[in-house]
Amino acid sequence: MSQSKEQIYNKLRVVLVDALGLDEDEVNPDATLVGDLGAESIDFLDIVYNLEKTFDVQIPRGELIPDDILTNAEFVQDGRVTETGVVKLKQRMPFADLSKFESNPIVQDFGNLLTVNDMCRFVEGKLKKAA
Amino acid sequence: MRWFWIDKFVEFESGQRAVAIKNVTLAETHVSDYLPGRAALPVSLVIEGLAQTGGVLVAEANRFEHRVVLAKISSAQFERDPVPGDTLRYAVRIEQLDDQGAIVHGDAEVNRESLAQVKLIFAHLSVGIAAELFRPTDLIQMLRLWNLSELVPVSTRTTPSIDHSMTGPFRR
Repeated sequence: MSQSKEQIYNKLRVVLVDALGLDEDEVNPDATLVGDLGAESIDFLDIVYNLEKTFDVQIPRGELIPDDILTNAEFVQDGRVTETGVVKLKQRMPFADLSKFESNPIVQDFGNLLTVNDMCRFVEGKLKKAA
Repeated sequence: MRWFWIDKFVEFESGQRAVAIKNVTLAETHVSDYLPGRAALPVSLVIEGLAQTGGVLVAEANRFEHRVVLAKISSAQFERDPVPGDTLRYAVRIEQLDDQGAIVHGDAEVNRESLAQVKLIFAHLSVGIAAELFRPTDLIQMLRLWNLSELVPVSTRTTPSIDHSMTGPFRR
């Protein structure tokens, strides 16, 4: 049975509260995981594990955050993602809104891109594929 | 300095679960001196013991080929302080394991009564980050001291020729 957006959001909120030690009311759809919710890099491992368990999906490395692109000299020059790199990121991350990042694609800022809404769309996409 | 916070392994199922024990004694100064007027093993050292038990379990699951470090204590709940005379039974099980690391659930019990529950995240260090965590000979010696060679065929699974060995919590 498919899950509604609201069901996905509620489950995701539990995952984030658990992984990041938050209060439920701190999580809102527009919150960024790093900037607003204080996620650190190791938290993403925790979050991905919890997503897999909660939604019964497999999330291979690089699927949520394509670090293979962000660390590839072919797509990153002088600390900025190249145009080709941005195109690649968009292909790999259809769930994320990259418009703001695209205007000034500094690699260092990439970490603060993902919002709770993006995560919801990511999970939604995974569930659709799995159906 | 070695950082031993378990006394020995007593059960070991590769890639699944392990049990280690830790005896708490007044002879340890951190037990007698930690809290004024009351002897107790600091609970942080219970987490460390569970992490050592879980870290070995995770490292062994990949034949000690990855460098495993404790990356995060996701949760830790304690019912009471461990006191002298307690034999702590650390039971850990792998909830999830992949090329990036593992989630391990750990229970500490005394006489079948729960003392603590933890959820730990272990990460595999990428190649190129940091030096080796253990010399292979030290690793094997440590596993023998912990009785692990009695429970798993350590001598054939971990040889002194391995380059990358295990877990961060053991070296300070």
